[in-house]
This record gives sequence, structure tokens and C-alpha cells, in this order.
Amino acid sequence: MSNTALYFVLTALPLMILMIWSANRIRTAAEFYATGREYGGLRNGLAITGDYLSAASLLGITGLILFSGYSGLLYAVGFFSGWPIILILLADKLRTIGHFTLADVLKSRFSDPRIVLVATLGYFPVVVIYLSAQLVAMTWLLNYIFGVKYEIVLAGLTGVALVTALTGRMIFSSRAQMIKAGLVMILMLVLTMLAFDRVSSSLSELFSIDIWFASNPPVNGAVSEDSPLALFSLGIALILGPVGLPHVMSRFFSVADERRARMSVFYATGMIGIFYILIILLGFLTVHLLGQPEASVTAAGSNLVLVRLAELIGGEFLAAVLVAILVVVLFSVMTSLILTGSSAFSHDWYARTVIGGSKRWNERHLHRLASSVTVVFAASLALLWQTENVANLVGLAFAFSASVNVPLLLGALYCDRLTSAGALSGGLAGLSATLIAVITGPLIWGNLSGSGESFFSWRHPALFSLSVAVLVMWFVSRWYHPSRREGDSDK
Amino acid sequence: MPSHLNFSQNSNAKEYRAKLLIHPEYQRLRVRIRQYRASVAVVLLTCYLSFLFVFVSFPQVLLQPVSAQNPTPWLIPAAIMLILFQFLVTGVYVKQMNTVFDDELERIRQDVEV
Repeated sequence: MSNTALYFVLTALPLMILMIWSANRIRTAAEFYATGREYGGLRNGLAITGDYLSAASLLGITGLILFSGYSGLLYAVGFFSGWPIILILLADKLRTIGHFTLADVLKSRFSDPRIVLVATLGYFPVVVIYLSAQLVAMTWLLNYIFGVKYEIVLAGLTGVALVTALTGRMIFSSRAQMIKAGLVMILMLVLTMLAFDRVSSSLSELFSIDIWFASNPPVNGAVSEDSPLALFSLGIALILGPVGLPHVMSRFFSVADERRARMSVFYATGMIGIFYILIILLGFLTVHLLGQPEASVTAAGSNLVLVRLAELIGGEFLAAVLVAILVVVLFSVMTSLILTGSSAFSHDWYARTVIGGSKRWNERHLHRLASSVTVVFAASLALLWQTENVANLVGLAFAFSASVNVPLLLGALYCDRLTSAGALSGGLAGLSATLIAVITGPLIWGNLSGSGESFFSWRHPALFSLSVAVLVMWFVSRWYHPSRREGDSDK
Repeated sequence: MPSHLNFSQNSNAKEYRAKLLIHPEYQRLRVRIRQYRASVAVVLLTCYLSFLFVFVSFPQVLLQPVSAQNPTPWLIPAAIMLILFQFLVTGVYVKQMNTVFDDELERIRQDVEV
């Protein structure tokens, strides 16, 4: 066993044991929502931070700042900015009307149960793509440590994920999330300070544009490989997307009263803000210390830039500790995604919407089926996307939630004129538009064809698909009134 | 479930809730809260969207150095200020909701109970 692998095991093993030891055995979504109830604002804020801090954005954004410069900054700002918007537009409002999930809101507003099904189907690609981003990141990290081929590590991880999906409904408790948040923040501070020590230039020269663009000079004056509209589309997906993450939204409702819920979001906002500012700093430190991206190109694409930085400044020990903590973080996000994502299907939709006698399936079996299908899809995508930047993949997941779940949720809460038919057709239109744009886009079509050519040229279709969804919602609500006797729009 | 609407299904509670809902001050407060929330949301969205607009349309503006001595492009302070500003607005919002509006709600509730 190499030294790196030894350090990795020595850090990861006790961490995992600590996490599992502090985990609660949770059987239902309701129990999951209730885990944090005994906590006050600060502690729950730390738990929310633990949920939201994604290793994918830490690894992805630092890589993007080094490799493609400009757009990495948009990710850092966008991932953060979605956060206060959720608090103000959604969390408070949802608490006031006493509904905790998207399915609850839609059911109370519309009589047509198919709308809940559409929203549930909208969750599916979000969870699958978000999960595949975690898998890509985890696979590269383990590949770095053990030197085993990507495909083999991925197969092993898929097996672990399937076991989690089929048997354990274990999820990391609030306490584990707090430990996680604390560890990641401390680690980032240590990395930043050590890297600062190595950089000879002053703070003002750190961000110097000449050094930044020396490694990736703008082609024809274009600072990003995406067109301006495609970048704008990405910006829209980033700010609206977090609403569609089931495992993040659920944390809002795990606090006992409104006052503490708001305080916990306030603390979480502060910590998440520091997290993203540190990511920007670390990104520029890698520009200085790792230099030319050509020199840093590995099979892992731009995903392991931070690990290489850690190796440079702290040797294999620091790199192994970083990887160990990140793997534990990614693993915990993976388990909570699998649980909450498939319970949106089996619990929120099937058990509570498909009524009484027509139930042919056992809810628990359906839950297992849904989670296994999710894992298999995510693993196939992770195989396809091994060289993609993981922040890009998270952005893609956000595009789905911004085009399906967000218009449904905001429409149901704030737009009285939205009818059942409008919501149903708009939700379906948003979902199909996103699916078509993604499948024919650079990330799937471009990757499969090998040439990088694709019908739909934007990597992030949110602007297009959100417009389709909203237009269809408006048009159908305005012009299609088959019969008013169902009386569904006036609840 | 918010504390002021959270009670069991007995008739007392229903009566209390009905009284609260038609209380003129309660209705006025709800309108004020809605307006306050809307204005904060508009401020946050405007900031983010204008940053986004400049970011995608005029990158050369954001890539200009801060000063002759300092080669940092404006993009960096702009991004960091935006994050800090949004955090600040969240803080103001939470303070307003948790102190001013919650206190008034409490007062109205006691008013209804008497």
C-alpha cells in the first residue's frame, strides 16, 4: 500500500465510523424532516451548510477558474445567490401555509393528481444528474488515491450505492452534517493559508489579469467558450436551481419554529458565503501555483486541480486528508440524495396521491425500485461524463429543476390565474424541452458522437426550457377552459 | 406550520383562527409582510440579474483593472461585494421578520385571545 493510500484510509475510516455512529436510523421522509427539530438556529444553520456545501462545487469551480477562467466566477456567485432567494420567496411562504414539499403544495392547489406526477418526474433528472456529479467526483478522487482504473472504481461505487438504495435507509444525521461542515471549512482555511504562504506575490497581484489569462488567453476577444446567451442561461439555472434539490429543501422544515428557521438560514447564508469566497481565492491560488493548464491536464479533466494544489503545498499527506474528507462529504450527499429523491416518488406521489384501492405495489418495494433505477442511470451518465467538470454537471441538474419544479412551485404559490391544465401542460413542456435540449446538446450528443458537434449548442438550456414552460403555462391557462365544474383553480 | 396557525382541530381553535383571520390589523400586517418580502426579493434579484447582465454582455468592463497600481480586475471585488451584500440583505430581512413583524403578530394574537 502506498503512503497516500495509507494516509487516506487512516483519515477516511475513523471519519466514516464517526458519521455512521452518529447517524440516525431513518425509515420515512417524515422522520428525515424531523431530525433537526431539537436544534437551535446556529446548530441547524451549520447542518444546512453541511448539506449545501458541495464537494462538487469545491472541486469543479477551482478547476474552472484555472482552465476556463471567466465562467468559474459565475458559478461561485450563482451557487450562492440562489440561497437568499429561496429563503424569501419560498421557505417563509411554505411555512406560513404549512406545506413542506412540492407535492404538498401542488396537491393543495390543484385537484389533478397528474400534476404531482409531473413534478415527481421533474425531480428524477435532477437527482440522477446531481448524483452522477457526485459519482464522477468520488471516482476521480479514489482513482487518484489507489490508482485503479476509472471504470473499475465507478463499478465499485455503483455497487455501494445500490446496496444503500436497497437496504440501508441510513442517512447522515444533523450532527454528522455539522461535523462535515466544520471539517470542510477548516480544511479550506488551512489550504488557503498554506497556499498564500507559497505565493510570492501580494494580494493585489494575486488576481492579476495578465497571470490569469496567460494560461487561457481569450480567443477572438471571447472570454468564455460559451456564447453570452448560453452564459446567461447558466446564470438563470444557478439562481433558480437550488429550489429543486430535495435534500436541501427538506432542511428548511426541520426546525421547530419560524424564528429559528430564519436564524438558521441566516447563519447558513453567512457560512456558505465564506465558502464561496474561499473557493474564489483557492481558484486564483491554483492559477499562481499550478500555472499553465496544459501542465495540469490529466485524465480527470479539470476536476482534481485542488487535490494537485494540496499535493504541491502539503505533500501526499495533505492531499490524502483532503481526498478523505471530500469522499466522506460526497458519500453523505449521495446517500441523502438517494433517500430523498426516491421518496419523492414512492412517498410523496405514489403513497399519497394514488388513492386507496388502486394501489398495486408496496410503497417500500417501489421506493427500492425507484432508488435502484436512479443509481443505474446516474452511474451510466458518470461513465459518459468522466472528463466533464463536475460544477458543469451540477449546473445541468439545476437547469432541470429551474425549468420544471420552479415554475410549478412559484406558479402554484404566486399566480392565481394558473389553471390545472396550464400547470400540467407547462410542467410537461418544460420537462420535455429540457430533456430534448440536453440530449441533443453538447453534454450528451456531443460526447456520444465523439466530434463534440451537437444540434443544441448551449450546455445549459435553462433559459430556453424555462421560457417554453412559462409560455405554455400562460397560454393554456389563458385560452383553454374545457369546463369550469372541476373548480380547481380557485382554492 | 407557523405557531399562530398551529393548533388542534377543536372548535375553540377554529373560532380563534377565524377571529384572527378577520382581524383588521392582522390583515393589514399580512399585506405589509407581503410587500416587504416582495421588495426584498426585487432588490436581491435586481442585483444578481444586473451582475449577470454585465457579466455576459460586457466582460471587458469587468476585466478592467481596479487601478494602475492594482491589476486586480473589477470582477473580483464585484463578485465578493455581491456575495457580502446579499448576506447583509438576508440579515436585515431576518431581523425585520423576527423582531418587528413577529412582535406585532404576538400583540394581535393576545388582542384576539382577550
